Amino acid sequence: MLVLKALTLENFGPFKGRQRVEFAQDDGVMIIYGENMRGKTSLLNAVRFAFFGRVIGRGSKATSIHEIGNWEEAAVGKYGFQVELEFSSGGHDYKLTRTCRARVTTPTSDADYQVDHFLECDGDVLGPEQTSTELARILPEQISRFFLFDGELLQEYEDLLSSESDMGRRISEAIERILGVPVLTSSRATALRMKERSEKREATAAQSDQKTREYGNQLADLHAQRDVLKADAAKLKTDLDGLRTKKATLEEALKRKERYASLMEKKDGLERLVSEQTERLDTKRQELAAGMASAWCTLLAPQMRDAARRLETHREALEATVTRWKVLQELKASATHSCPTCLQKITAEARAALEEAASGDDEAGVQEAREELERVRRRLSALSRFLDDDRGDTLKIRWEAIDELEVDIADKKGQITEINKQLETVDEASLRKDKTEYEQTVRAIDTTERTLTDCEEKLADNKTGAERIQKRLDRLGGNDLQGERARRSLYAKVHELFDEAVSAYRDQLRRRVEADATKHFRALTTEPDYRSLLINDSYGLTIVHKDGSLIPVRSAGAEHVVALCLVGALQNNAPLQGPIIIDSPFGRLDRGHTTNIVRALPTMAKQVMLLVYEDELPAGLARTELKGQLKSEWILVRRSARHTELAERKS
Amino acid sequence: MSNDKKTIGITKANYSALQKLLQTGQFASELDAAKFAMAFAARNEVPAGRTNGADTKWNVGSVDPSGDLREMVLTLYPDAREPYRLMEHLMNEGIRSLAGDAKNPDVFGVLFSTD
Amino acid sequence: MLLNTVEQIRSEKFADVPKELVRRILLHHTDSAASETDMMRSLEQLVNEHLNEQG
Repeated sequence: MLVLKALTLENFGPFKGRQRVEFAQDDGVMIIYGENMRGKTSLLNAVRFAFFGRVIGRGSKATSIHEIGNWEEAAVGKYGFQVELEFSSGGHDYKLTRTCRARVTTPTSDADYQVDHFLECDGDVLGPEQTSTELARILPEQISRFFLFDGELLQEYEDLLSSESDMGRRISEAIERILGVPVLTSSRATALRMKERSEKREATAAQSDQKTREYGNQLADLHAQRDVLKADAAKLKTDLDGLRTKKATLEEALKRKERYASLMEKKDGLERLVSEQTERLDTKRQELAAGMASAWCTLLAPQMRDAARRLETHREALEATVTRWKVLQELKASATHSCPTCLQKITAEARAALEEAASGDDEAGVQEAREELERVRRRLSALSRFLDDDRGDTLKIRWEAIDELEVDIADKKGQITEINKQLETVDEASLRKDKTEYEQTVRAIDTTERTLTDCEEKLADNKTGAERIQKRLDRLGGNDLQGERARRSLYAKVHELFDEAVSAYRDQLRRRVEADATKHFRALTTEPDYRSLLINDSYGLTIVHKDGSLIPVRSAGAEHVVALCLVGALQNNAPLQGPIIIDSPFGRLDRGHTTNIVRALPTMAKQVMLLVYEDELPAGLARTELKGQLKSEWILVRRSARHTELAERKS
Repeated sequence: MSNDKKTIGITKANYSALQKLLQTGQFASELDAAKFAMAFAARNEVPAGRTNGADTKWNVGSVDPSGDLREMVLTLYPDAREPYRLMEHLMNEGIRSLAGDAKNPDVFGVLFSTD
Repeated sequence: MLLNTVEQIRSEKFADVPKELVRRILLHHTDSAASETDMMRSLEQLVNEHLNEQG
């Protein structure tokens, strides 16, 4: 059994300098009090870091190493940190030291650090391979969640309820591992191998007898085929496992980078728009340039209009002169009394007036007037055409549309620049690669699953075929075969025995875990109508109402309680036992539940450490409920915002 | 009998100014820009004159196929004896004042200003 | 509990399977440094002896 003895921290989180906390060695509960942000979670993370070299932050994300070291020390140029964990297991004393050292004077990222660790056992330093083996045996990481219990990480327990999820599958496999199921499944595999070896020997023996040769040959072929199929299936399962792990890893990475992924998507969208708009802008510019061919008309339009007005007046005068002369000449020539143009009678007075007006005219003058009139008409015609070409309003609209588009494009480009700044630290290429890889992995899983199913179907067919041949052989077989047949039959029974044992043991385990979890639950819950907990195939627990109905949805507080019950039940049933360290176990619970849990803690594990704040669990309440089971109290004392000290509270 | 020019051109000194106008992207051709500059000069009532040393750029037939432009110039400058020479002068004067000094000629401002 | 479960099933349904055979397999997978091949050889030997005794 794993028993923690002491934890020494050096510049880890808010624990500046070298500080040590000793764990109570007698069975019971130790409480460490600290207000929020004082370092309670850092203590839990220190143990995690010691064992696994990783620290978990909000939302189950791995925290960057660069952010773990004490900030006050970092401010004066001292980077890096160290954790030493002393513990005993299986009768030996261990000391695990894990150090994080800065490789450069001023580190800025995880890459600037070097993390090393070594393990001492009874005073001797172990080699790296032995260290890995020992640590994996003492506390496998997959099951650490049942010992290092962070009240914030409840989602994982939700995952258990769904055996469909990859996470759920992995957690239940981890639970079965601590409960000893692999011993039986491995034994079953051994029995199967022995049975198959026997079958092959039997086939070989059959081949050497003429009477049974044909069947022997067929069996041998089927066995050979079976070996190949089994090897294929095993490889496919390994591949599938690897792919599923890869998928989970990528999912986690993508989730972490979700924000960046969405920024990148936004950027892609903006770039597409900018590209479209730039194309439109080019078209509009071309249209404008075409329109500008007549812009000069717009520019001169006012002058041309003035000139046209003047010319009009001038033309009228000239036309009057020319017409006047023409009329008079015609009147003189024809001696009529009617106007040759409008055919109206001209009175004597009118005629006198005409002659008066024309008195200054002479032929040469009128000829000049005619020529001038021609010129004026030509000019008016030209001006009229140019004034028609004035498309000032359209031009203005086009210009303004271009301006607007340019502003919009500039704005979008600005947004893209902003996003690029935010993505500066992100390796865009690698993010895209992750996404592509994820999609590829999902497809690969699908293909592999189908291939595996195919392979398993072929194995089933092979088995049926072999059994058929075996039966015929049994009817025929001679003395040589009898011995081997007896062996085969025995191994077949051993295999069947273990097969049944696996199911029976799994059932028993589940029932015992269910029973123990229910026992804990009834001690912890304050709801009298809740009768028990019901366990599913992957160790997910559902609350059962006294009327037999299931309570499918739970509050976070209830989730807390159920998760604690599972932890307690696993500890009660596992061959591997150890301490439970719980961070903020009561945060979401009312006083009733809190009291019940405090009272029940000593039944859950031999060594229990609680990391709480005073309001969550008042010292008085803890002392009253635990009495002699409360072995020690520590407090986290604030020296500054980034400096906490561990102190034992001696009453 | 006309001594008027048969070709119209731009002085060397005005070459880069004409290019500046073209680089605004707002004119489809040098001729369009030149006509605009001519109109600018006429609007500003630049006195009639002549520009010497202009290199040949266009035939008057390309500049004024219908002869209407000639009529327009004569309307605004009735005393002009050689309207195409005057056109050339107005173009050069216009190019110089539009784009000679300014980094970015404000064609929009010139076209749509209300003053 | 594991050993009890297996023994119970053996005695109830597979009484002709030698107890020792089952015990050795379980032991190998619980805590043994022996190789799989060595173990299987010793099992074969045990089985042969058992079958010989049975006649």
